[in-house]
Amino acid sequence: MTVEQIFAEVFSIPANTVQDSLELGQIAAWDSMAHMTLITRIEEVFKIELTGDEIADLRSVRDVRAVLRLHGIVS
Amino acid sequence: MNLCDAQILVTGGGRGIGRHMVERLASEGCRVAVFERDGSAQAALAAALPQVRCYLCDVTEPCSIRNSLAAMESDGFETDVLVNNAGLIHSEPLVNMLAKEHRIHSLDTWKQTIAANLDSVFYVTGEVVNRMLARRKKGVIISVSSISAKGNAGQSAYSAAKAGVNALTRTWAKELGAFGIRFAAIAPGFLDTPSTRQSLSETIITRLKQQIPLRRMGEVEHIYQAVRFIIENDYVNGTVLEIDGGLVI
Repeated sequence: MTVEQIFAEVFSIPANTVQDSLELGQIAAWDSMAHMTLITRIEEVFKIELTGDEIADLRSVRDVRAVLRLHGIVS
Repeated sequence: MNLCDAQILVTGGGRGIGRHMVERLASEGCRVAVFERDGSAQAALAAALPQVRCYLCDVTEPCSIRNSLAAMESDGFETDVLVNNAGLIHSEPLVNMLAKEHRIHSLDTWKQTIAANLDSVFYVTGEVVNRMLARRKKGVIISVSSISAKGNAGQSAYSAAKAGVNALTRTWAKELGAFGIRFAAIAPGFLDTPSTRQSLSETIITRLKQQIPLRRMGEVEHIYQAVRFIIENDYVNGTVLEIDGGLVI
């Protein structure tokens, strides 16, 4: 599963609209509860455990890719 | 209890579900009184339905409740049916992982939500039932709960308050059934109201509908129908009637 597919699934948006620049505030459904769903899907799919700071810092698709790189995952 | 013979007090009857209940009960010829905190909603209701008695009342304040009940009684209105409808919806996670600071659920919103949805039911019901017992009159107390009482992610305070309402309903049904006072709660699921449309995006509403076995949201009329059923069926007591299209959360 790709980052685009995760965003599409969590926020019910088309995968082809998921760009690196897409960020919190541009997706109406991205609230504090949806953020928890996003985190758990990322952790499940990529089999990683994010730190508290990483969770709070995720604000865009670009941020997600960056944090995945820190965990040795190229997405 | 015969609907048309009943004198019915509705809290929070100036807007939303409460306003619809009041309009429908009045159209059936019932004598209806309303406690409403919002002055403009109260004035609008009084103008639209002059036969309905409207009293400004903050149901989170025991003193305000006693004053409004006294004014209502001096107008010759004695409550046979109380509908505890006033309340507010509040959504907030226990810990907001998006926030850098103040991540934990606000104590202020916790207290406000519990006060509006649970304390109010306790205060108003106590005052009304005390009067019913003093007059040795039978009565019905209906409280508007929610399916969130089962535990809805992102609604700690609201879910806890509504679970409390369900517990009070069952407790009071056992405590006061012998005196002919019945208690029931109504637990709506998602209703198609302007406030729902305002607070949820179309995407989320579409997703919600997919989770409801009937594939549609409920209407405020469904809640009125439940109120009417509880008033008229003298063997309903201590129950929480779920009006949710089969949705399980």
